[in-house]
Amino acid sequence: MTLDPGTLLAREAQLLDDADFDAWLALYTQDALYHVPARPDAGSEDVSIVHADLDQLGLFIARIRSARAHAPDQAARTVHCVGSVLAEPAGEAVRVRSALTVDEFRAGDRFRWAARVEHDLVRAGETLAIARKTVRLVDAGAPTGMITFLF
Amino acid sequence: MHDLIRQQAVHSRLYTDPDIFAAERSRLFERTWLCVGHESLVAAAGDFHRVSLAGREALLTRDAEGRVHVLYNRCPHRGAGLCNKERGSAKRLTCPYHAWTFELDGRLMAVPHEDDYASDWRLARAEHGNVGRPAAVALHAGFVFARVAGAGPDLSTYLGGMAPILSAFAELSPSGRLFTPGVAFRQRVRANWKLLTDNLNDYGHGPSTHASSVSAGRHGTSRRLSPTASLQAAIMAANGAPYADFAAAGTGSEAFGHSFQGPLALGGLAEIPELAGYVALLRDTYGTRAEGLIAPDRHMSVIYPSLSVQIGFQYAKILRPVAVDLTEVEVMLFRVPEAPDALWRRAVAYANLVNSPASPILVDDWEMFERTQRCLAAEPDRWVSFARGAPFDREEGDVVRSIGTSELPMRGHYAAWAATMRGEWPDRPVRVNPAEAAE
Repeated sequence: MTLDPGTLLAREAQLLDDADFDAWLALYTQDALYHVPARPDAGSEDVSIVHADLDQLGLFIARIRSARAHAPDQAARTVHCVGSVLAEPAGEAVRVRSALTVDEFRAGDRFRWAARVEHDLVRAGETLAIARKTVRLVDAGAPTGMITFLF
Repeated sequence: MHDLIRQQAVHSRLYTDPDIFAAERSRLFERTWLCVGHESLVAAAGDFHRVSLAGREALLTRDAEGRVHVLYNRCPHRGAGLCNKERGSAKRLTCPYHAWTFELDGRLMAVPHEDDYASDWRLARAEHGNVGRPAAVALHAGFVFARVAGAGPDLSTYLGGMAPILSAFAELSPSGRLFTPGVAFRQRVRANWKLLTDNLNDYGHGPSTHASSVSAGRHGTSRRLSPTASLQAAIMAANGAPYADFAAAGTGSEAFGHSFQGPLALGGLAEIPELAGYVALLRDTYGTRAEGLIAPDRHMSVIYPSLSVQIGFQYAKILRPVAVDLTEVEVMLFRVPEAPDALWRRAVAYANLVNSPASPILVDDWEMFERTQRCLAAEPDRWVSFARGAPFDREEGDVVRSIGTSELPMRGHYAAWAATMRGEWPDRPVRVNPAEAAE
């Protein structure tokens, strides 16, 4: 199936909301980087809220699965909403910028997260794969509550 | 207030009563030494950095002569905030409201149109025109401490056995250039600050609280992973160590409520090939003492009530109580200019895993803090127990030691809490009950 960038981002959002993590990981290249900077000006070498290769994402997902199995009442339920999608060619890749809001329901409370997101997409056969995703939280650097889901 | 503290239990109200929180602010936080940051946050003359001191907006500054100051972020004219940016550099501080200007040491420089004021006001301008500051400020090994009010023990008396720990942290840089690039993480925890301090040296909760990340870590350690993932899987799995390992690690409590726990087997610097030259430098510089830096004999050291440090992974955490049910935590990571990037990358990998708001380990502690805050009030008159390990407490000079899984650190915290709230100084370690001493 050939996906245009906007459809790929929508699919990614729905897979996360469905907690279908295997299908979600399959959207990424083997050497992909998933990055949520801790501060607005932070780079890849600095501390990060999340800075993960596929193996590290695998650990993150394994913990979420284990937590869902043991304490389903504490597992985050989310609705990811992607908007303002703008794709531009960047060499061999496609750079996609978007706006993301996540409504999270956990432990009886609702939380709202907002971020500007960049995806670097590369051709993978007939379709596109995510080589890099950077999630810049609007309140990066400010005191933050706990994050138990993936953006 | 101190009738809410027993030797092995504290009253639930300690965590939930806003009046107790208000009393803590005036009797504990404003009277004791609190860490506000590290001097490298203001490395150069003219640097300023916003910090917090006992709930008050404050500034860490460095004046033209290189001296470090702690000032309240409040213009003495009408009370506006002098600095709104988190950090920066300036020749002078200018209030954005009516443009009064100040030196970086807080002295009033100029008031626009000062002729509008009476001559006696102008003569006394130093009395009402300088930026306010806490009663005492002192540095140890680069860490900046301040005390809002009153008289009390000097910083070295207060730090006691923790002074050499902070000194050792600084000695990671033999040329004395240890620095933090800035505050790495800020956590906002919807729980009383004491639920966090209760957890800092608690080796009794790992396998149960962290079951989900232990399981994920074990799953990971059985596979071939990238180097960073492999380190992180091992750290996640470490919380599932056998009970005997936690118990053997040991724990300790000192005067002023300071506490520590012994190390888990997370590996030292000598096992990392890229750090061989740095390890050799430490050994050349410090001799046998270097081993305490290469493989620290402590996991977490708590300088009660505001600071905790883990030298083995080069970070410090500052606790900021905001309200009875809200606490902020600031995490600072430190860089050693003499060490190769591998040391920083290791510290970053550890911090991302254990101190990030998305940490797969921390979020389970965090959930316990917030759940406890919600549920404590179910029985507001019951007590919270810290009796675990008491039969193993033993005095060794200025330190009380116990098994690693003991709740001794918390018993020490609350003994210091009660003494300070009574207006005394907890300059002796927590009392060991002889009737309960182990054979």
